[in-house]
Amino acid sequence: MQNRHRGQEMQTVKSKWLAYTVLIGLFPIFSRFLVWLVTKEGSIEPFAPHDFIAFGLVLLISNINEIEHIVDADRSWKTSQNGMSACLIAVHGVLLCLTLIGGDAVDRQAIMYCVAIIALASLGLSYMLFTRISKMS
Amino acid sequence: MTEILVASTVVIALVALGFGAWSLVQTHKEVQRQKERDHPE
Repeated sequence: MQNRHRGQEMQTVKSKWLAYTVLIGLFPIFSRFLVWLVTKEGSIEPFAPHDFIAFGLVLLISNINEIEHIVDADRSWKTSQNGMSACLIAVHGVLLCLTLIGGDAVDRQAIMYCVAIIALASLGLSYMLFTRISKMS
Repeated sequence: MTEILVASTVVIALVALGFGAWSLVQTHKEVQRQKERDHPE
């Protein structure tokens, strides 16, 4: 009975993460894609680096917020997790600066690869964090 | 220059994922220890 209740709680934590964090973070990407579908060809790009940066930032900020609200967790783990999230936020900041430079100063395709890679890493880190939270709750 | 940017991003991403995986392994060990404490044989 207790195990069943625990399993449901684990599912709830992950469902909330998926609904409130991942889907909301993906909103800008979906929106741009929908706009691209209904506009004339060439007027807008289907994917933009800013949207992926926004997605990564949403995930990382929610990580920090969630860690701050855990009461009974190892303090060194909380510190290292917060540190990792802060580092990734800094990387997102650098990539955002690169996207804002514009022109031919930076290769847009390379920036796109970089933001996609770092957004995926943020998604993986966030998933692992929420897996831990759901297991320990 | 572009290669350096992409390569450093990949390294940072791998470090972050490695850290996450290490954290998961620690969690698994902690859960096992808790189970053993709760139900000693």
